[in-house]
This record gives sequence, structure tokens and C-alpha cells, in this order.
Amino acid sequence: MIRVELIQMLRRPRTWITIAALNVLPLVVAILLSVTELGPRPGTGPPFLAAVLSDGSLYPLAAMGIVLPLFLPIAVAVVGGDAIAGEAQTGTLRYLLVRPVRRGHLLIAKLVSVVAFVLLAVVAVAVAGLVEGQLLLGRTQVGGVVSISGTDLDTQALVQRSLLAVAYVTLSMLGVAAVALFFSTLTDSAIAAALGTVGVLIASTVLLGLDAAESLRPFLPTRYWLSFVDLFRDPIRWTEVVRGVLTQASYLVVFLAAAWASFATKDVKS
Amino acid sequence: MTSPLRWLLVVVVAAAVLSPVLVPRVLPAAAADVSAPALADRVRSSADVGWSGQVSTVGTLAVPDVDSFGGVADLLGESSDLRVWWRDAEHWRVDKTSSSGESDLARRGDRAATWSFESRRATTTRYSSVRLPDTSDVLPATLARRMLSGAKDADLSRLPAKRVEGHSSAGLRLVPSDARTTISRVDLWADEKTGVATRVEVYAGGRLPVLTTTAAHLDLARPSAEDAGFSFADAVDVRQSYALDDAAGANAFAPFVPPDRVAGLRRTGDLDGAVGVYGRGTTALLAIPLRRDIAREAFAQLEESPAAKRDDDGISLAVGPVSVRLEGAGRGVFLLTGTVTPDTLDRAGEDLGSVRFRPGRGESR
Amino acid sequence: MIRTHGLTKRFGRVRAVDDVDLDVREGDVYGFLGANGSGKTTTVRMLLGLVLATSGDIEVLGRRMPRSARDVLPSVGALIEGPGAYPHLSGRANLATVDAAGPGRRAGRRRVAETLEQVGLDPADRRPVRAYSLGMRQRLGLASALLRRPPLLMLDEPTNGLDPQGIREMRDLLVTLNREGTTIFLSSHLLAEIEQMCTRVGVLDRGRLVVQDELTTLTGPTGLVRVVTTEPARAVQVLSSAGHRDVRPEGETVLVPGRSAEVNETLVRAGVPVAEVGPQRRSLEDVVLEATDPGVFRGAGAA
Repeated sequence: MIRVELIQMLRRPRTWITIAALNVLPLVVAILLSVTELGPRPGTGPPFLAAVLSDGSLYPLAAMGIVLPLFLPIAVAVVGGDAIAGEAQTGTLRYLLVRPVRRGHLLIAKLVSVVAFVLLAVVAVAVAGLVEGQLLLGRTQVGGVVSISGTDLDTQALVQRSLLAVAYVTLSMLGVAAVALFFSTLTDSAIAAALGTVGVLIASTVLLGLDAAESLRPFLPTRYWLSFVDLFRDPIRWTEVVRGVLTQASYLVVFLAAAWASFATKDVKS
Repeated sequence: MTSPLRWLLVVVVAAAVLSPVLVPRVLPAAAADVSAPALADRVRSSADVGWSGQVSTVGTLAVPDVDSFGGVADLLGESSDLRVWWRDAEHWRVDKTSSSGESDLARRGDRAATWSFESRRATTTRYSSVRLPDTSDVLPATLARRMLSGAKDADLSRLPAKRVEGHSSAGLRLVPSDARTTISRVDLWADEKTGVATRVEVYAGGRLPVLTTTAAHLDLARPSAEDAGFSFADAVDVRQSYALDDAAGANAFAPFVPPDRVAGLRRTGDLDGAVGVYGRGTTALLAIPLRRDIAREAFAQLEESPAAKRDDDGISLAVGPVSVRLEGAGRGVFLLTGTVTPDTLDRAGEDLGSVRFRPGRGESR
Repeated sequence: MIRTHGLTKRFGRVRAVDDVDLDVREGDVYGFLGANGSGKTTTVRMLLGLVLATSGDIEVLGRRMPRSARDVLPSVGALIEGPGAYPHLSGRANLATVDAAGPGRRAGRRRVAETLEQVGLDPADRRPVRAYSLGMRQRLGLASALLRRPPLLMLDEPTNGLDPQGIREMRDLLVTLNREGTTIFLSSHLLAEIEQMCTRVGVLDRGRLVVQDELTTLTGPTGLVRVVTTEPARAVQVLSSAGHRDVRPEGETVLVPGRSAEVNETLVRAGVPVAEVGPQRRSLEDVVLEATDPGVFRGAGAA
């Protein structure tokens, strides 16, 4: 089933359209930066964006920082919300279940395919960022790349840390994927499930900016999203990264369990 | 399995997942039976205890954005996240981190280094004990030491122990009896054995603290010299800076000798410099001589604040517990600021009239 | 092949299916008849484990459902309330995808092509299902059900969207499959469809199974003789005086218990003109209308 789902995901035109759309904004930003050479003011704007003017090799990270807060989660919400509800909409859910495919297996296969989609999207953004950075933005200066803490970052370290960042950003989307999957089992409308997920994310972002909600912060799914930046400090700040991974794992476990509880005995009437 | 049973299982899973975060919050702290003065002594003598961790500060003061104040407005008015490696009082590094980069400050003996990722600027300079407040001053440990310095035993009382970010800490309250200070109370918690403070709350009369600083992921082992130091990449242009900030610059180069005592407060700190540091603990003020052009600019910036009051000798402003005054004294203009009442600052301004001029000093260095 | 006992499904306070005892035997073409909204689809979904029964037992191919779904369902081909297909894939790819998703060996390319031909679709058609007509989708749905040559077919409204020619082809196909040993459970709201194809019939009326029997029994002789005559009044008089009881005139028709030959002889001997005579048979429509008589049944109303 997992294999079938993965092939299905790769075959869908939507997958590739979404990934292409994700790459539009970083491309526009790269072009604007290279034309105007106006970086954001220090302390504002997406991570790394201030640094890419002088060092294009950091642009993959800046590109991830651009899509991470909004576009990537929305894409994940749409793909995840479509998982079960979309099958219900096309009427294929009942045929899969009487084929028979076990309901739990179907959920796992859908989750794996969403995660694979995220990985594909993040890698696509990073690779596109690498190309855009080399073609449009500043060349790496003599002496190599500089970490956020001002220390040397040799090519090997940069590659390793970039791979870790790709992995971390992918993991950051696990929570969104699980929530979307859960909503997808509740409704037969893929759009409703996606909107519900986006609603959760907006709520999380609003609460994150509210000082009165400080005690809730460690539980919010969006809290540690940008912590991939910490991988480029020296020494690496692992605390937030680890917490981010644990938070996402918690969301995954709880909402996958909820999706299973909701789906396992659900009457399939679509 | 029936549907209700399934949902029960989901609740159990959720509880299990939340427990690692929730349990430390409700876990009782180890009881501490140390006396308040003894605890204060331990805090005061903790400067050379090594530790590392992360500090988050929350400031609520709208300090006017005067150029001469450097980063003080951010420090007291915003939240910041700091990474700290503290080997001893003269060897440490404090990184102010954000999702878009970081600005670092490190001290190694009498040298200091700064780094800003966003502007890609690195500087090294002589360290100066007379300077504007910076990130190293809002760490719970340093802030607690500063607040407790000179505190009377009678002003101290114990607070119940509590867990600060999981670290069991003994509580201490300081209610200054000195009428000149604007600080109504300081609540702090510290590691009982080493005296390293984990949380400090500074109150200025209100129900909520005006400044809170908390250490998380506290590790009471001395960090390595490598972590606490600074080693810039070859690609980074490191510049020599003439002074740590404007106050340190003025202290080193301005041609003044401030009086020994203003507003009844004794001069402390570097007695050789041109900046006057008076008082200690919660009752302290700073008198910084300004160059004429900078003074004019500062005056204009202060005047923009609706709360500013002009008089014949200068301009005054009070922001929460922080009072600011710009006053002409002798042949110079001094910027006075401190956690003292505006009246005290006025008196200090008058007393500064006895400042002596020391010609030719600027060129000697 | 399919047996249920006391099968009941409640949605909130509504009993969509109420105490149904189905009995489908091997080799049957079982017609499951009921108006739209009578609970047919819910019943079919319960048989397949898509909807969980509130109470009652289900046995399909001798195994309990939905507990043994993994063992039972591979041997069941199903078409449930219209076809479902991935719109961006071709018919062929759709069949292969759903097939690959389940357990067991995959059907080969040749079997996929063969099945598509069997239902009247072109295996070489590369268009995505998005471009299919309703009838073509219905054929594709049937192909999906037939792909693994299941011994039991459960078809819910299989002729939906088909033109008369398509309906005929579908009927021929099902009859052929049944002859080769496939048991077919076919639900429909179309009386004629059931009457033409089925060997056994169950009638569902607002969740209750009101009739279940062999078609031949249901539409068999009623024991009455039906006489068509131009002089019904005389016929009644003659027959009554000849000892026949319960003689009922209905326009030019007279119904009388007895045997055709006897009745004919009596009437002819008395000089009554007889236009037609023979045993009375009920149509399926009569059976259904009688069983679901609004006056008798709906008035009482199952809550």
C-alpha cells in the first residue's frame, strides 16, 4: 500500500504543481535581491536573507526560511487534508477498503506519502535555492562561509548542516501532516480538512505572539519551526532543535492516534 | 475495540506525551533553609562560578531611543534570548540570538569582542568596567549580584523555593529601604549551593515586574575556553574599536574629573575615568560626559518624548524606574541616568557643577 | 453465500436497517429490491464492512464480517453506489492501482486488458477517467469488481447511467458469469431489472426485509383460474351453481379457485363464451405493492 501511495503521489500533477508554486517566491526574492541589492534591515525578515547578498551559498537556507512559515505548511495541509477526504470525494475510498486495505495501513501509507512529499518539496526548494544563489547572488568570499556566530564553516560542515536542516524542516511538518490527516478522517471534504489545519496553524502563530499565552508556548506546533537556524550557530544550539523534534513527534503520535480512533470505526458513507 | 475505548487510549497517549513537559512544572522544589543574608552572600560571591545556559529576558520599559544609550532601549524594552558561557567574571561570552541571526559579546581578560551576523561586523576592543548596560548585565546571575551589592540585611527576606525551568532554586526578596531608589522590590531565585541566580524579577511599584530574566538549560559546569571564546573566520573583517560603547569612550577620553559625591551617593567604580558611577545596588546612577554635538543630538531625541520636562539647566525624563537627565555642568554636558528618583537625579545634576576640567586628556591616549 | 441475522443499523434515532435476515445462496442471482432511501445501500455497505452494524450478525462466504474482512473481501467483487476512480489516471491505471493496493498476487496486464474488454471498454484507451462518460465509468467500476474473478459479486445499482444497449450487455454478462458459477447479489430500485435477471428476490421497505423468496415461487400460480369472457355475470352464476365458491368478477375477468380445464368445461357446456382461460399468475410488481401496501404498512409506520 505504501508503495502504491508513493507512486500515486508522484504521479499526481498536483504534487509537481505545488512544488513548482513553492519555488516561485524564493525565485522572486532572489531576483529582487540581485537587482536591487537591498537586503532586509538587520533583525528583520526571514533568516539568512540579510547574509545572502554577500554569500549566495546560504540561499538554500534563506529559501527554506521563506517558505517555512507559511507556504510549506499550507501545502502540507492541502496534501494531508486530501489524504482520506480526497479518496472519499473521488469515491475511491470505499473501493480501497473493500479491496481490502486495512484502515490503519491506509492511514500509515497516507502519512508516509505526505512526509515523502514534504521531503521532496524541501529538497526542491533547497536545490533551487542553491542554483539561484550561485547564479543570481553573491559568490562565496575567499576564506569560506561564515557561521552565524562568525566562525569558519568549511564546505563539509556546511553540507552536513544543510542536510540536517533539510531533515529538520521536513520533521517540522510532521505535526501539520498528522493534524491534517486527523481532520481528513473527520470530513469528506478535502478543502474543509485543509482549512481546519491552516486554522490550527494560524491559531498557533497568533498564540505564539501573545505574551499572555506564554505558558502554552512549548506546546505550540509552530514554536520551534525556525530553529533550523540554530544548526548554523557555533557551537550548534541543540536545545531548541531537540525540543522541536520532540514537539513534532508528540503531535504526530497524538494526532495519528486520534486519526486512527476516528477512522477505525467510522462508517464510510461516501 | 470499541470507539470510546479508542478515544480513551488517545487521551492516555496525549497525557503520556505531555507529561515530560508538565511534570517538572508541578514538581516541588527542594526545600532550602539557608538564611536570607547568607543566601545573598552566596549570590554576591558567585561571579567566578562557571555556568552555561540560555537566558530569556522580558523588559517592559519604553526607554527613549537616544543614540548614546546604545542597545539599552532594546535591553530594557524587549524580550531577548541569550546564550551564555560563563567561565569566570573576566571570561565569558553572551550571544543574543534571533531567528534572523545573532549579536555576540565576549570578554577575555581585558579584551572584548563583538560580532553581529546581520551586519557582518566584528570588532575587538579594550574591555571597560565603566560602560552602558549590555547583554551581560541582564543575566540573572549578574543582575542579582548588582541588585544585591550594598543591600542591607534588614531589607532581605526569604521567598519559598521553586523550580525555575526545572532547576530547584532558593528564593530571596529585596525591598530597598533607601528612599532615593525607584526600585520597589527585587525577587530572585538562585541555586542554593553556588549562588548562581536562575531568575530575577525587578519591580518598580507595579504589580508586574518591569524586567524579568530567567536562565534555562542551566549547566553549572565551567564551559570550555573554546566555547566561551571568540574565533572569527578568515572571511570576517575584524576591526579594532576605540571603545566598547560611548560611555566607555567618554570614560577613557573625556577631559573631566567628576566629583566624589553627588546627591549623597559616593563615587564607585573606575575613579580614574571621566564617567561618574555613583551608589551601588538598587540605588545607582551614571553621569556620562557628552561631546557637544552628541549632546545636542541627545537633547533633540529626548525632547521628542512627550514625558520629557525641560527646565533652565537641562531636560529630565522618567521611564518606569529609570530616570534620565541631560544637564550642562561646568564646561561639559552630562547625561545622567540611574534607578533613582528624578529629584535625586536633579540634585546629582546640581552637585555635578563641581566637576573639574582636565585639559589635554583626550589626546594623551 | 451471504447470511445476516437481526441486522440493524441506527443513525441517531433513525433505524436505517431494521432486523434484516438475508439469505443469499450459492448460484443465486439475488435481487435486492427497494425504493431509494429504503436502506439498501447501507445494507450493502454493512455486508462489506464499510458501515458497522449497530447489532446483528453478518456472514459472507461462511465467515463472520467484518471480523474476517481480510479473508473474505478478496473473494468479493463490489460495485457500491456508483463507480469511484482517480480522475487523473486512465481506466487501465485505475484498475492496476486499486488492485496493487490490496493483498494477494497482482492481476497481470493481460487480465486487466481482458476485463476491460469484457465490460466493453477499450484497453488501449489512454484518456484519463476525467474524460469518461458516466456509462464508461460505470463499466470501469464493474471491471474493477470483476478483475479478480471473484465467486461473489455485490453490485449496487449496476445499470445506473447505462443506455439500453449497455444495460442489455451488462445483463448478458452477468447471466454468463452466473452460469459459470458466480453468485450475484444485485441491488436495484428497478423492478423490471430484477424481474428479468434474478432467481431470488428480497424486498426492503424502510429498513425492513418484507419479502424474501425464489422469484418463481413469488410469481407462481396463485391457485385461481382467470377467465376472460364477454358475459362475466352469467359466468359467475354458472360457476357458482356448479359448486365453485369465492367466484370474483373483475370487469370482463372472473377469478375462481380450481383448475383451468374444469372451469373451461363448465362454462363451455353452459354456453358461456370464453375468450381466455388459464391459471392466474402474479407479477413481481403485485408482490411488492402488496408487501409494501401504503394503507396497511405505512400507516402503522415502523418508528
